Amino acid sequence: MLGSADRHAGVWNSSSQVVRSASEGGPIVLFNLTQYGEGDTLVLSPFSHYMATSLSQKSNVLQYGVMGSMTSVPANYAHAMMIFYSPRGINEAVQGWGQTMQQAYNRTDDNRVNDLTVNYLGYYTDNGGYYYYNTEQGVNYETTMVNVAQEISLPFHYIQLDSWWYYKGIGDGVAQWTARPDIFPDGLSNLHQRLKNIPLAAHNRYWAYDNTYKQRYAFALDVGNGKALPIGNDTFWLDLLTEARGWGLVLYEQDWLNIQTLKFRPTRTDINLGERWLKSMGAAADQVGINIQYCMSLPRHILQALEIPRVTHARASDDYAVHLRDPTKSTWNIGVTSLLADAVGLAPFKDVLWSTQYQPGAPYGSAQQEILPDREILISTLSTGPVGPGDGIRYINASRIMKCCRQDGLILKPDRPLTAINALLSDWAQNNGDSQGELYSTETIMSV
Amino acid sequence: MKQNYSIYPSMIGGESGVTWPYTASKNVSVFDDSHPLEIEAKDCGDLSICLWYISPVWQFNDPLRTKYALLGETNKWTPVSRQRFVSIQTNPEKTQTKILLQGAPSEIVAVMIYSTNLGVQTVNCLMSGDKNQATLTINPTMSVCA
Repeated sequence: MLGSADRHAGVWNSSSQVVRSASEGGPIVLFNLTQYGEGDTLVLSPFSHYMATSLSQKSNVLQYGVMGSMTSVPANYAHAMMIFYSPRGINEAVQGWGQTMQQAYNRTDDNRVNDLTVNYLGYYTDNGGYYYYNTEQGVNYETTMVNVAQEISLPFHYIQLDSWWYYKGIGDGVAQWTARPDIFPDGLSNLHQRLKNIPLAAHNRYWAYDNTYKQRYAFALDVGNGKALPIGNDTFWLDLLTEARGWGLVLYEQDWLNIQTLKFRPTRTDINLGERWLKSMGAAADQVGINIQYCMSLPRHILQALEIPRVTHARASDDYAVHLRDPTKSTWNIGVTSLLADAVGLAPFKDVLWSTQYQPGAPYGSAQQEILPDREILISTLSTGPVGPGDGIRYINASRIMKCCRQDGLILKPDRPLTAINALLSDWAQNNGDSQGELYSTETIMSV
Repeated sequence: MKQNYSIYPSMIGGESGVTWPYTASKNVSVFDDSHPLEIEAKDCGDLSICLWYISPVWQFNDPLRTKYALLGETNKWTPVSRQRFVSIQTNPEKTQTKILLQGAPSEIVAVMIYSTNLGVQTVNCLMSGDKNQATLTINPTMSVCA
């Protein structure tokens, strides 16, 4: 999500509501309207402790500081704010701000550049995919996934397994991150072998209060919200991800970041918890050699990823299913969120896509359709993020999909994600948040 | 789109050259400060893809001062990508350009080149050798891949 739901623009004056929500808000870009977004630009953001500090607004005063919900601040607690200036317009300013932040944290793009799920064509089963809580007629998920691997003649290099495979508890949170026997009767290791050891990406969500790990590992608990969170000061993440590596996991997808953070008292009251949670996850992933995708993130999670190099990409939009159910709702329009993601070193992910307009048997209602399949694969390809079709086996349009890639499934990418051009960003603000369209550009630069 | 836009090179990274719509690679036209790309809102609604590619123009030192542009790989959303194109080198005399491509074993890559004397040509490159590469050589009179 990357904060996509709440992004907005407008004219900066004493009556504007620049920060609408301190907890859900993100960086602020100020620019000169008379220069049409091509000149003087400032980027304002926190520069440390991203899970505990916010930009907020009281009357016509922009404020920065520790979130008011934190119950205590340790002596000598130090945090910083960044104000970055560029005379070269909005896109360059945001990129320059991001580069400066990455350098300050010694963040390199090594993991992103070597991430199999970012470099190669893959297959997705998340909310928008044909097989999201939906199997082939009359067979279970194990058979369905084997059929996907065997019958779709495309060079997929990995398969993503969404939330439909693990045990859920209170409030639909994850109770145990292992395969349910009604889904994968022979378990994940066996599935991995039957899939000829194809690498796997797997989804996870917020932790249920009644999860099965809290007896053995340290968990923060919130009985009122029915949720929990691994504190990360023990071997919890190392054990979880080591076991998952055993069944072929190469990418850990942490979804529901917003709910885990906002609908959970400990992360709002303990000044260190949010940061420790994400850093301990990242450290274990690094030790085990697994990358991480962030999903349903707030801007603060994306900024926190500056310190977590194993986070290689993040979802940049709402779920694709929203678009399938209602074509008037676009989810491919990632031109603004891509600018934020790429600036801090993350590839933006457009989400799963359909390569064929109509796919009977998919679980998105009688009106479900993809009105313009070419656009989905085009945006995915130019995003430099994952390209993950999720069509039903019989509904794959291979030639349409292969316009993304080389014969062996390597995605052919531009040098950076496509982003909204300065003129459109300027007009978005000038028109008080009424976007004048989706107009993006990107490039490949080669010296001759 | 809700309004029309005139796009100049400075608005999208600065390079001028030639431009063509993704649906018609033969429709190559000039793109520079005197020839902006005109985007019409009426043509670019929610059910359409308005996509143009731009490539810079080079000039050889031949008597005709032939200009050419690399339009890139056919039938791919990213016609020029670093995953496909390894290097582009023109000799000091400016009479020849060599473009190194890479791919999957035995993959055939169709590359389009525009030149002022020959228009748009398509050349097929077969990836071969232990590095699965091919070299596309362009000079004022022809383009070949080997």
